[in-house]
Amino acid sequence: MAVLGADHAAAAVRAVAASEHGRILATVIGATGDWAIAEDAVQDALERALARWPEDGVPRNPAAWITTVARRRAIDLLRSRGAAERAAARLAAEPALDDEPTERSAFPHGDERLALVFTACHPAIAPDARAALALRTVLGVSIERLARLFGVGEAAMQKRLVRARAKIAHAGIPYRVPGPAELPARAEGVRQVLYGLYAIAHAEPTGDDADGSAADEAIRLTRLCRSLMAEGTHERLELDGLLALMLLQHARRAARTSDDGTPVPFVEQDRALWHAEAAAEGLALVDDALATAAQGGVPGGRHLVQAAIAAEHMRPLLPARIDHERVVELYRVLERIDPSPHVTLNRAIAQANAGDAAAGLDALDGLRPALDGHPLLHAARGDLLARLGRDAEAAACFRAAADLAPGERERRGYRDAAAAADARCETGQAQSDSAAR
Amino acid sequence: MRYVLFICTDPDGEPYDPDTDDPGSWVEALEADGKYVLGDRLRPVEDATTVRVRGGETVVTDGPFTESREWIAGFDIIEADDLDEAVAVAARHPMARFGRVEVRPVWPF
Repeated sequence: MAVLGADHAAAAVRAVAASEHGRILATVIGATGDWAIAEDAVQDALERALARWPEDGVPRNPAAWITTVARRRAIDLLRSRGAAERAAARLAAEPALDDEPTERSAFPHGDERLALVFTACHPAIAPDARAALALRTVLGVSIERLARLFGVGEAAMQKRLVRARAKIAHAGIPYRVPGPAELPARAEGVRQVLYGLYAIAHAEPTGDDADGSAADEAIRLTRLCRSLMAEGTHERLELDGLLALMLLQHARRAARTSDDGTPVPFVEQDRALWHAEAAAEGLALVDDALATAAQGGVPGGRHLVQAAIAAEHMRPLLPARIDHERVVELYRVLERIDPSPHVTLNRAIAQANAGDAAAGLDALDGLRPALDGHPLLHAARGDLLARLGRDAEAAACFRAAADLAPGERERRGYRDAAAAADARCETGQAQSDSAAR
Repeated sequence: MRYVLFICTDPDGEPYDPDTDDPGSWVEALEADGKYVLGDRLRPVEDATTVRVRGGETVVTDGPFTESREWIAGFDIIEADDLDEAVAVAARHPMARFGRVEVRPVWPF
């Protein structure tokens, strides 16, 4: 064990938390049966690591170290709360872990982390707490970040999670993946959370998750969940779609941002940077699922349609060959089965890409009551107005988008677009002036 | 774990069918599994009496505490391993269809 600086040790703790949080917590929950105590114990163990590792060095197996400390802490907490002496005794009787990771599992079909997701998504838990609880539990996402993601204050988010963990304990919500009879009814909620896990890991690749392990974890859990669903069923097709969607987005990971972190628009991405294997697997999944849906008369759901849209964009070798008419058609299917202003916004952009910017602009105007406070609507209007040569209006839209943008990077992007539209205006003005002279 | 199932009326429930909606066979099946503790119908709210003690005085009034279109028509106390089992038992109760069932875990002293 090498003695390391505090920064180095902190980075090691963050790395373990990002990739192993779910596994560590799952082990402690499995032993205590109490989500609240397990959560506190793991937090305490992470803090202990932050305090100890700078001096003692990072242990050979950091996850096992934290698991062992968390289990000991859980025993203390169970005892001090005077509850469940028997649980404390059972936990104490388990062999110490020392430097070896636990591979024993009571979950034959996969692993305990999928059971965490299913339990967090139980319909008896308040809907507004499910995704947050899963994110907190499986990926260890911080309260501060959860509060930001779900648009509530930190105290309110903390309260939601405390409530949900208490409900699990008090109501006797089981910690397991449900059997085949219950699976279909539970699958929709789990799909939403799995996609939430992925989307959050994907949205901030340079945030808490620099090495992409949270996104890998979401993909791994989705594979496991897919393997539980009977072939040829709607549920299986939706998981095919969800997995494909994640793989297709994941394949573009390296091409999504330039070296300085600026987002690169889809059509400008260097396709050589795409991950060929992930892209090929995603495309094959979409093809097979669509074929099964057509042959068996099984309806696909929104995740399969979303994956089909992603596939239409990625299959052609050149962006110019994308079949935009087909994309518009797929968005209309999506609007039917899962209507939302954001789907309509994307359909409007697709219409413009298919050559009908005026129709797209009409559709966007219809969204103004629903999305007026949203930068994406103003940016999309700016884009379509610019395509129609209405640069002065376009510039105003981009400025409105910049005012609403949540981050500095987006703000800069919208300001640049506004400046470009202004410049085109001036050039146009100068040309007509000189023509008039 | 022990759960109390409050069997409630629900104006939005499906219609009652006397041929299939028989709580008797539901109780028998639970008893055979050793999962049934206790249960009964309750007289309607017209027969309810509300008791309050205020300032040392016992105040007795006719009827339930609150006016409601939905009321508790019965209760059953069951044993179940976890919430999923309790929910499955509740779903088999005939009044889950033409009324609704509130599942409450017992909170032992």
